[in-house]
Order: sequence, then C-alpha cells, then structure tokens
Amino acid sequence: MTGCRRALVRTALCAGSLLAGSQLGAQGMLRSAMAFGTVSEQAGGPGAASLFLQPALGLQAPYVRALFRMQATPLARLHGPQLFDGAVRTGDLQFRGVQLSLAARVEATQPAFVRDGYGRAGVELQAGTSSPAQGLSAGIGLRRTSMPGASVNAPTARVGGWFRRLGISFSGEVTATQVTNGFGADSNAGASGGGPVDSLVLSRFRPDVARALADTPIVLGPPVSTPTLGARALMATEARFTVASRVAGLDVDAVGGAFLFSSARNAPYGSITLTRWLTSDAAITGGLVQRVLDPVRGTSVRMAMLGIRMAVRGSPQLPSVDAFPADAAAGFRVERASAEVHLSLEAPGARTVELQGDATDWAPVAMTRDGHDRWTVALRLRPGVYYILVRLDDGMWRPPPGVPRGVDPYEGTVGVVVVD
Amino acid sequence: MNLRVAWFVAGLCIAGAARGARAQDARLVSALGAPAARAVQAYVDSAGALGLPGGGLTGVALEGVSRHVPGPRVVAAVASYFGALRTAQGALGPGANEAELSAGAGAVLSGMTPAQLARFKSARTHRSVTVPLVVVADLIARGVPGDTAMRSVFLAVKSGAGDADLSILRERVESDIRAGAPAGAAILSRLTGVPGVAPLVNGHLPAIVPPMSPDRP
Repeated sequence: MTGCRRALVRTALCAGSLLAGSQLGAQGMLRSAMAFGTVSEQAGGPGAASLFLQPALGLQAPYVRALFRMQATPLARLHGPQLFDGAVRTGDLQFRGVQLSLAARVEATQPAFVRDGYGRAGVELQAGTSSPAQGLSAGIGLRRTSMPGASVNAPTARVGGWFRRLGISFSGEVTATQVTNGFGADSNAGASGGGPVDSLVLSRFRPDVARALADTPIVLGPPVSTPTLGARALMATEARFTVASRVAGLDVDAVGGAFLFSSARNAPYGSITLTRWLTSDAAITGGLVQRVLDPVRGTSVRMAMLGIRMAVRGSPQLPSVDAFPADAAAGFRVERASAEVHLSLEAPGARTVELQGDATDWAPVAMTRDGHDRWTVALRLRPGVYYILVRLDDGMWRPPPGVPRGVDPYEGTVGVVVVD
Repeated sequence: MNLRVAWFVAGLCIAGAARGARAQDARLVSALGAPAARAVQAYVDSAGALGLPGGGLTGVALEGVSRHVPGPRVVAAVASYFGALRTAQGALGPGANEAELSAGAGAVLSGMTPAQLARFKSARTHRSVTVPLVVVADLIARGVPGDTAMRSVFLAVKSGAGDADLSILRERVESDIRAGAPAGAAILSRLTGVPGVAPLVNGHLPAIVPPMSPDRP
C-alpha cells in the first residue's frame, strides 16, 4: 500500500473511531419574514419581505460536537444575505471540577447588495463549571474578520452564566473584544446581516448538540465596518441574556442584548419566538425579531417571522455508554409507595423526560415534572430487576444517572434497577 | 352468589391479562414478523416450563423492537438471554427467586462463570445475592477488569457487607471513575472502606475464586 493510501486509511480509521457511537441529525427551517417599523435601505426599506431557507446539520460524537448551517434566500428579488456558519467544539475535559473545551467557528456572509462577502473565524478556549441547576463559563480567544481588501485579528474575552428555576431557564453573558479600525471599505460593507448568534435555530436542534454549543457559545463580536471612526482602536462589548421555557405546550425562547461601544452608539437587539411541535420532527415557529445590521452605525431591522421547522433523526437510538452531563440529569430515585413504585430524577434544564424499559414493556412513558425540577413516573412493579433507560428532550436514550449499569443481550448499556 | 361473583371477577381479570398479552404478541408479530415472533414465544414457553422468568425474555424481545433491531438478531438475543437464565438457575440453585435469576443472567452476560456464581450463593446462604451480582455487573460495565470486580465484591460479601454497603461501594467507585481514576485502581482503593474488609496486602486481592473467563475489554 502506498504511503498516501496508508495515510488515508489511518485517517479513515481515526475518524471512524472518533465517530463511533456518534449521533447525526439534520434540520431545515423555511421561514418568511416581514420587516416593519423604521427600516434602513440596507434592509430593503419598510415592509420588505424575505424568505429564508435554513438547513442545518449537526454531529455529536464522543469527543467532538459540530453544527453547520446555512441561510439562503431563494428568490433574488427578496432581500436577505446568504449565510453559512459552522461551529465545532471538543468534548469537555474535566480538571479539578472545571470543564475545559476548545471551540472554533467559521462564518461567511454574502450580503444582498455587496459584490464580495465577508467572513469571520475564531477559536476560543472555554472553561466552565456547572451543577444540575446552574453554571458559569468563561472563554478567551482570537477572532479574525475578513472583508473585501482587508482583514484584522482581535482578541476576545467572555464570561457568562445560567440557572434554571421553576421550569424557566435564564442565561446571560458579556463578551468584549478590541476593534481596530483599518478599513476604508465601502459603506455598504456594513450590510453584513450578522449580528447575534441565532440560538433559536439551535434551541430545538438535536438537544444535546444545542446544549453543547448554546450553553457556552462562541460570540465573535460585531462585524467590523467603521470607515467613519478614523484610525483608532475601540472596545466593543456585547451583553446578552436569554430566557427559555415551555408554556402550555409552546416552547418560548426570548433573547435580548446589545452591542456596547466605547466610541459609538449602542445597538440593542432582541427576539421572542414561539415554537409548537406538531410531531417529534416537525414544528411551526414564529416570532418577532429586532436584528442589528450594522452595530457600529446602529442600523437594525425589525421583523415578524413565521416558518416551519423539520428535523430528521439520525442514527438508531442505541443507548450511549456516555453518562448524562452532570448539569443535565442527576439523582435517580426508586421509591415504593404501596403497590406503586415512583421512579424520579432531577433534570432542571429538560423540557421533556421519558423513560422506557422492562417496566414499561419498552414503550416510552412520559415523566411529569413537579414544582422543583424533579421528574417522576409511578408504575405498578413487582419486586425484581428491571432494565431502564431515560432520555431528555428527544435525545439519546441513556442509563439513568446514579444507577448500576449492565450489558443487555444486544451489548448495549442499560440502567439496572432493583425493586424490592 | 358470592362465589359466582368471585368467579366472574376472576374471569374478567384473566381476560384482561390475556388481552394485555395479546397486545404484546401483536406488537412482536408486527415488528418482527410471524416466524421470529413464534421463535421468541417458544423460548418464553420453555422458560415457563423450566421455572424461569418468561417476562424477562419478552422484555428482551420488546427491547429489540424498540431499538428497531432486525428480527433474527432479536431471536438470537432472546436465545442468549435464555441461556444465561438457565446458567444462572443451575448455579444459584432451585431456591433462587426471580430477581436473583435476572441478576445472575446479567452477571453471566458480563462474563461470570457458573462456578463463580455458585460461590457467591454459598457466601450468602440466607440472603439474596441480587445486589452483589448487580454490583459486579456494574463494575465490569464501567471498565473494572472482570476478575478484579468479582474478587472485590466477593471479598466484601465474605466480610459481611450488606446490600447498602455494596451500593455505597459502587457509588464511590463510579464517582472516582468519573473523576478520572483508573477503574481497577478505583475499586481497590474503595474496597478497604467497606466495613469488615481488611486492608489488602500489597494491594492484592486474595485468590478466593477460580480465575474468570477472559476479561471483557
């Protein structure tokens, strides 16, 4: 075998081992948006309508998670930039109770009215700590922004935290980056269509991937387009918070934030989105958005959006030998109350929790949440040994946290519960 | 009149149970196909005749259905579990209850031999061996070498450890492994914390039982 083939085989084997036990998922969203209010010409003027197609592909492997997505405007007459972005994050490395990971992100934009697009890329070293109901994270990194005829490198620093109470998730973060003017670019270069990370696309996407990338996201800062500011450096800070919950069967996601500049006007943004899942793979989604088009100039657009979201399940739902992340689920309990046995666990960040196993004839049973983020199901069980699996938010089936494991006849790992 | 009512109620209960069983059968037939479903039913019937828990075999089949496993593989898994149940029954004796047989089958699937199962039973003549066997299977599933897991738990059982002590041992080893400790070292270091277990000489487990079959990777 030639050296080149050998290298290819080694790469394939390495990739194969890396991806063994991984989960692949795809999602597409077709969304229409109507701008309203005071809208700049960059957005096509007041009342401009847009139609977006947003396919996304996610991968969750034992050591790496990745998410790639596009935003395309299929009709040339309608306004809207073509976007592509991809993010990759390594699995967490535990070090003295702190979770470390490395993340990288690439984004490319082809604005509607600009001949050449612009791109951003960045890497960030992330550290965080979490418990079932709250967590902190921080990151330092480097961002490179490229625009027609110029590019610049800038360091970034970020701190953030999240907590969950009474079924509502709250998160907030602040990111600072140094921006040095150096562009004598066309004023239309600000029509980037960038702005904040659209975590709403991620919020229901293969939940484990969404959690991996959304909990400690990479925020690369505002696009650089400051021809009016002259040759001086300025600090750009982005502050952002999110609230998410489920109310009356609707997923509610709200994002608010602002780009804060040391020498320019602040640029606020925000959105509220409602999503109703009609089946496990299809949803209707809609909401209101204020999106920043050019944070330095302070131009933004307000849109009302309505769309459909489709998700495609990936590999068969075989249980992973990986445990649930510590902040996802903990404290599985088995308590007998006369003829019934109460099975429960803590999963404060979950929107749905299901259980299946010998106790349910291997049909998924929904668990219900009490007022304190503990999910419970009561089953009539005789004394004996039962194989059990649980899953959160339609994710992978896994042995419940804190129970013994066993290997079933399919060589999968299951939780083993002894009922007295 | 009371006797008639009792017979009527009994009849309703039997009919209800039969309907549940038929629903299960229908699910197996529609998912696996009639031949595979018949093969599974044959194992369930055989288990009943031998005093083995047939519900566990049906559970294995339904687990395969839920995972969209092809019919022939489901039948093979049911056959494998049937064999493990029979092995456990032979090793644990006729007095073993359903939970012990299920735990014993799990231990057999993890690599324990009938001789080692029998030694566990002899070390706990008046108490259930369900929890010790579940703990052994758990340790092996988490990466503790099979022989080390079996000897460690056997030593704890012989030293008088109760089910609660074994559960605590398991939880501590799990915690250590999640924190990054090597699995084999984790069980050895935690074993001496079990009440009644004497310190190991040079970290070496006493050779109480015959060597296991080749350790699972």
